[in-house]
Amino acid sequence: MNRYRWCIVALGPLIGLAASGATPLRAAEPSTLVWAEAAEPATIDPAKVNVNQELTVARNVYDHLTNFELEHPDHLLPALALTWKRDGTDWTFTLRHGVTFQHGQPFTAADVKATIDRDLAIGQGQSYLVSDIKQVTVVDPYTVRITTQQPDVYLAANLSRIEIMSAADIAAHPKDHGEAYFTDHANGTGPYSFVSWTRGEQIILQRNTHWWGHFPDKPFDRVIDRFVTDAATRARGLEGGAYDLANFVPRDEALRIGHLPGFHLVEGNNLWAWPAIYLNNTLAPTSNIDFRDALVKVFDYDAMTQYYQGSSVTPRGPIPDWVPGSPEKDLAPIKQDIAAAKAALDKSGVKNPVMTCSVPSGFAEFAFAGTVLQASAAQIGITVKIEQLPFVQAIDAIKSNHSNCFILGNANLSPVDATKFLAAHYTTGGYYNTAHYDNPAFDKLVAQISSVTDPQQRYDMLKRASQMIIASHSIIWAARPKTDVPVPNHIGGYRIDPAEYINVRLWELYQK
Amino acid sequence: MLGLLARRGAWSLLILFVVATLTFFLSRVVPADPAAFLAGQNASPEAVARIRAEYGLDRPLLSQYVAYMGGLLHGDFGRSIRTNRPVAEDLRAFLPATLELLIFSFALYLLASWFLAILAVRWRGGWVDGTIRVFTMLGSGIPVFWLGMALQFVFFYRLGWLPIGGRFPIRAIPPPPVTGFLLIDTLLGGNLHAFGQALAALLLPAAAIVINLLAVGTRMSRAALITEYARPYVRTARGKGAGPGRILYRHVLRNAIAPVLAATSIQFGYMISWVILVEVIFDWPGIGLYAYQSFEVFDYAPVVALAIVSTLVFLVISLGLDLLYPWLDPRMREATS
Repeated sequence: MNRYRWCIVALGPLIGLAASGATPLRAAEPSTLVWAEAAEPATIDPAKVNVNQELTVARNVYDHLTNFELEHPDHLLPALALTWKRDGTDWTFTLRHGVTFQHGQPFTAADVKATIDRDLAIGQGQSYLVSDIKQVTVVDPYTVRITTQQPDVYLAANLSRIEIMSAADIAAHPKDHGEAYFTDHANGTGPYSFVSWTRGEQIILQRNTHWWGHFPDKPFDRVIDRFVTDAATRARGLEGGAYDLANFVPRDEALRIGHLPGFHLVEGNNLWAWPAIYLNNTLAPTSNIDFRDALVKVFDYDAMTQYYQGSSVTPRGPIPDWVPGSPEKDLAPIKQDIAAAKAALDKSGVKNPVMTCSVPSGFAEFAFAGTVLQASAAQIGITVKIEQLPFVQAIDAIKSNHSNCFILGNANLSPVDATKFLAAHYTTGGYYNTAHYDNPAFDKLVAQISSVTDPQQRYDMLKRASQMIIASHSIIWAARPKTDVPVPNHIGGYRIDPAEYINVRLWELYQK
Repeated sequence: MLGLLARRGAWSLLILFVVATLTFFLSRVVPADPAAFLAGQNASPEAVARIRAEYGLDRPLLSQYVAYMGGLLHGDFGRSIRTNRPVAEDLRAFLPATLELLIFSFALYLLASWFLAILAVRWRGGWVDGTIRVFTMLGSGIPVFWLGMALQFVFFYRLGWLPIGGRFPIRAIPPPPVTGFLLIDTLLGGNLHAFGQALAALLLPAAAIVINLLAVGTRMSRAALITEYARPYVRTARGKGAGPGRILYRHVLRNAIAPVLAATSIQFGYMISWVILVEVIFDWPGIGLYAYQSFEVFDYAPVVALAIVSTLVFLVISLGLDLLYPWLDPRMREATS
């Protein structure tokens, strides 16, 4: 035994030190919240933020002119703007007094103008929500007038998604609109201020005690926005207490964790379709409308409902019924009809059909929908070849006409405006119009909706637009699940935002 | 020795050039438009075009290649579309974490494989030898990603002994960076508790890498030890009254290490390739995680840079081991001279 004593002598202190450094399972600092984010943001510039992990910082560090009730998204709430009114193409906003940016500058109408001008000049991120804006005019320090190219009834609601920056900051970084600087610097008026960004690891936010808004009792003073790329690690870390909340936890894991002692499930609506299968209108055999009709009819929607353990519905159209003004309830149900699918396939005249479907990797639901399509189509003699690819490659495959179908998830960032979503997914040239659906009448109709003041007329127009897409058989809305987020019982205030991917309103959270 | 270094240096440069060229063209063979993706779903066509121009993606491929290789000569690895920063800056941020994990894993691998090999030879043919064989074979048969998750499940979730991931406890404040190596920085700061925390964070990711390689390492070391124990000099040493410890450490081990070294550099190559998986699973902020995120969005510049850096690390370690060879084995020293 003496021979190995040196090993013990050498390794003993190391093991002792490692043991002394092992992390306790629960938080040592109760006022720190750890949010496990599915990826590291590329930028936190409000003019460029576009995906979930980028929106986390933007939404909580900056304020918006308006806010909305999550349960009733068409009920707008004051934020940096206290009141607003529309007169033709002019919207006038009266701003809140006594608000300061985290770096100390007072908030005025000049900040609103500088922000929107910059957003439109850069033309990325969420600027599409306000792309109708023609001009922003500072009437006085606390009044701003926004002029749109045509009357836009959705503008005030869409401004609930536009983060207001400091005009002084923007002016101080004129080169490239300050894109390099704002990539990793943030100064808003919001409930949390940006502290640091350690690349590859985390962003730290600190509660802004000078915020004009109201925090609940026992809010979190410090938030660690931790980048945890692996979904299984996020789930295990949440379950084991390393993280307090996590986004994009795999659904089966979310349901399992949510039912464990010490956790509860928060359920809500935010997904428009998850997934949706886009059928390429310009590549044979899916270029044949009857062939597409056969695919829509043969798809096994019940398999998706079972996959979601009953917590989903089969969409009737593109806009969920919980979105204000949705025509969903007046659309016909869509369900599997194999006889009708066979008839449509016969009508198409396509013989021995073979098609390719590009599925972005990393999403279990997308892969499952691809398998369901494959199995369903085989019942009427259609061969579907599935290729799982990284997202960028998958979307490029269909956009460059090398694939017949593409699988994607649908959500919308505007609380009430469906037209921006329709524009991105179905109008000619829309980034996600991977079906290559091309209908000038549809494009024109969608472009007109936001200028119509009569709600009934807007409803009819949205219904007509939905029917046009349905009639084109360009898409299979495989399922519309509810979102389930497992939340530890020591955290209160978490709600699902219907106009967001899975994200978090930090200022509403508190310790129980 | 200088001649050897010059030859290896020249070969290394050639290899790096070939790797850079191949990776550059292969990464662009796959049809993808990272500019459109990163500009955002509703970016204006002008914005997408501006990004393409800014990153040179609108130029002919050959022109992009010439510009990239020209930049490389000046140490410029290009700019990442995803992080909007020079790749060299990103590498400086991420490389220390990976090097620390690799070096720690490599040391752990050497220690563990030789320790197990010595135990196996000491009780050759017995239950200890058999247990070690089964353990190492099982370890090599389990995929690294699964092993990583299993280790997390047992040591984080079930036992609560070790952190699930990251280089330092999430809620604690890490030491100010000096070298970027947390084990060193915590010691420089005189903070032994923080050193322990950094060490604890290293254990699971390193174990995931090492356990998978142990079968080969232990079997090779065991075979080398058995070969050496059968040589006449061991009988002579025993006859002269040397004890088992002296025979092992003074004679057998030194002779047995040399033939295993060549294979060890190959094992190190495996470690580099597995680092990507391990860093993703353990949320380890190194170049493996950086590579994974860059691959996802076809961020070309980091992809090529990472291939170059990984190759360079492998070449340096191989050279280091080759230089150790004659130092350990006098016969090689004579042959080299």
